[in-house]
Amino acid sequence: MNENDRTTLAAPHYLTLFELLLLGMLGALVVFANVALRFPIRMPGHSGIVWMALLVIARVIVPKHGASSFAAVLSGVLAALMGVGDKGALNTLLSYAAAGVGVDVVCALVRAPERAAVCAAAGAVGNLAKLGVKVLLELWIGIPTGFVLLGRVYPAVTYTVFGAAGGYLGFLVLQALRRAGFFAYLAERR
Amino acid sequence: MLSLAASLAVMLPLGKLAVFVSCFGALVVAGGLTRPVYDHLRRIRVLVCVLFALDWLFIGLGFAVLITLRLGLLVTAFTLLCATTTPEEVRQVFERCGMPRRLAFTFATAYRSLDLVETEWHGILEAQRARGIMGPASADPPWSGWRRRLGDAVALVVPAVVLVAQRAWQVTEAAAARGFDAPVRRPSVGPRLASLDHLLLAGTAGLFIALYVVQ
Amino acid sequence: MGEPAIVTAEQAAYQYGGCRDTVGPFDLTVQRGDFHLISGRSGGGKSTLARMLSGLIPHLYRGRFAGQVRIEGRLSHQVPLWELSTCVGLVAQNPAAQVLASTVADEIGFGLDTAGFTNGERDGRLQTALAGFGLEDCAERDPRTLSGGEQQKLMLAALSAREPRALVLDEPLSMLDGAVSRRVVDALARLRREGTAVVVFEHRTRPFAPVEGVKRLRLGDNQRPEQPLPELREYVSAFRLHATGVGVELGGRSVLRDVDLDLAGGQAVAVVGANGSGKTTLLRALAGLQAHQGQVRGVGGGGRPLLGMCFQNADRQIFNATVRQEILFGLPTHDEEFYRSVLDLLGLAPYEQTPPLLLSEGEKKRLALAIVLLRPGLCGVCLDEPTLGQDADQRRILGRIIRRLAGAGYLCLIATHDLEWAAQWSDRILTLERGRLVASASPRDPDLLRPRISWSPCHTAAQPQ
Repeated sequence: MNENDRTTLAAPHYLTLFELLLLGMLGALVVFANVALRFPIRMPGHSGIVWMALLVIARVIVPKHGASSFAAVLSGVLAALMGVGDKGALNTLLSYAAAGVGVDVVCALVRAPERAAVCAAAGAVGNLAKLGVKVLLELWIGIPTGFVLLGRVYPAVTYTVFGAAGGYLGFLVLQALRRAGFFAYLAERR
Repeated sequence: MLSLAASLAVMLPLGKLAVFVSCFGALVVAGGLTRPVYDHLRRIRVLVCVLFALDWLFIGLGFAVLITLRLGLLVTAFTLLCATTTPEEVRQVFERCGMPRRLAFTFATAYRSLDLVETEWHGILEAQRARGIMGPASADPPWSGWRRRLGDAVALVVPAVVLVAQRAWQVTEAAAARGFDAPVRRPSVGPRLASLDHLLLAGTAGLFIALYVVQ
Repeated sequence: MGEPAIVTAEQAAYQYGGCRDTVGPFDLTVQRGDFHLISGRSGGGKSTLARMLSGLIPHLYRGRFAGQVRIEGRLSHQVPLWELSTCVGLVAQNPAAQVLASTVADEIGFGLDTAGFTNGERDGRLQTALAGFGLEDCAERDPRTLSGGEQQKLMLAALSAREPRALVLDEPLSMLDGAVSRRVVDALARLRREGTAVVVFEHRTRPFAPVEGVKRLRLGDNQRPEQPLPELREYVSAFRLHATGVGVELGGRSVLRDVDLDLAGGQAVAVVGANGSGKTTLLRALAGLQAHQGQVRGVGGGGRPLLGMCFQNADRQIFNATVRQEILFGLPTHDEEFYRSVLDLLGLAPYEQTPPLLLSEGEKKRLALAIVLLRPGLCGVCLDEPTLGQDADQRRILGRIIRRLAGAGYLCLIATHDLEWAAQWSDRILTLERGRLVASASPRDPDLLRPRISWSPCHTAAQPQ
């Protein structure tokens, strides 16, 4: 059996249309999870469990730099348009985007992101980045630094823990996807 | 434009900020958008009250009013945009502004897939519950309970990711079958601006210039 | 010398990744004015050949592609896909999954925008397509709100508006009932008269009988000898189920009203009716998945018999590494002998260690049934449209599986449009109309096939090839 001639097959785009749509729809899943899933946990940052899991999953199944950021930015735009978030659309958009950038930064620093520790770290950094955006916006509008930081020690801890838990959940999901044949399904498609 | 101006206006000093907020409030009332703006402000009422009290106590009344106005404006800055613009219009604007069509199409597809995601999620939940997944934690010891919940979460998220990927592939094939990546394309028409829209744009630009430039 | 062929496939073959077989090789020539009807069993390569003829393979797929496919004389892998799509259009299996735009007009316009027409030409073609397929009144509607038949017509309009020289359709009738199928076939015949070559991959061939000059081809093996199904020993003790005054309201609307039933284990009961008659809702209510008025109870003690709902889309349940793990997930203990019997009955034994996502659609449906059957204490199964999209062989195998399950003492409830299948394989047929049970008949009842409601059977009996 001969290999087909691939002279005209190479796509010039960084992300193929399939990858773009896959990331976009994972972004929609992030928004849905944020709106529809309610956890019986009353601690700041708890939504990061599912959120970070999905962003970590996005980064690994589309193994290109910026994949998680793209999914996150898109989900941020969708969430903002749907009125998600307590502190306004700008905060929603920037915090969703920051989460994705955080995941991408961590994954860019390692060769193989599909490891439990890396996924947990990516989740933690991503979730913390969300908190960071809220802090920066409060500082930008002039709230005294002391006030801003005083109330953030406890959330910083919970955001880190839930983000790491989300990243670890993403790792478990990726392992299950791989065993179930999902990556073989992806590998067959451009 | 108005939303962007509002988000930038947060850096104005108290006097000019008060003028801007008054004009912004008048536009909100005139546009019948009082309800969504009120809903957004209501969500942060506790934060606003605590912040106002602490600022007044430790710094002064003027500062407290300034921060409260800035916070309220920031929170509602993009409410106008989101309340008056559909995702389809956002896509058209993205394209008119030169965003590659692939990205605009991705955005539109993601938005339209929200309904599908919800339907599939409920289907997954029902199908997995029928197998005893997501059942009551009952008498599990704490550690075992969390492990089971993690396992349940995997049982829900895996099918969700698979179904999302299948849908993305179906759309990819359908778009490719209709020549999506063709180099020549009819430009998007985009939303039409009414005379009121032009007036609003001019008014916003004028207000901005007046507040920032005029000393 | 005749006109040059639009599409030629010469020993075209494709090998998917993983452990799946090679599909092909195929030879086919499509010329102007042709109407090809290519049938074959499920999993026989119809979809793969459709994608090769339209160029999606190899442009979108990474497997090993052999042989040649020429489109307008040029090798398909050497021409950009967008250019191939101006010559050969593909309508894939599920029209709802191919919706790309927010309105019907935009859906048709999507393909026109990429085909290089001027504004005037584009608008003219749009109006012609809307009128030609009777879609003028729904131009501003969301395509997702259209019926299955209307969506299929929309896809035909969207592809044919680009005026490809050939149109390839992958199982266009699989989701449609009889009357709607005939309208779609009429539309295809009209396209052929207007000069578009048509290639249809479809295991239902009877709807195409009125079309003249159809070239028929069958893919895959000749009819394979049917494997005998193992007997199941009696696993379920005799029971009766009484349903009294069962009713369901959804969204303020009465979907099911005052349904009284007396069912017993060991029966295969088909529930038939038009779309929206309440078939699925009834099954969900009996399986305990839908809150309902009225009462469902077992007779003679033992509580309400447990009926398991077999979900249509097995992908909603798959997350384990092997078929065995998927079936046995969450079961603290199981009867290995019974498990083996179920595997053998459903033809899943060869795939026990296979990752479930690599199974074919038919195998996944049987996996969903296996998952249900292993539930402890199960007395019956509810299947929602299990024959939808299945070829004659698969429908026959399903019927035989249902008979084996009934023989083992299970109550099998099957919601289906397929009256002929129901008449062949069930013990009783319940007819629902607008949420009410209007008839309960034996399959041998001569009144059964007389139309009493405004719907028609969608599947055909096996056709001689």
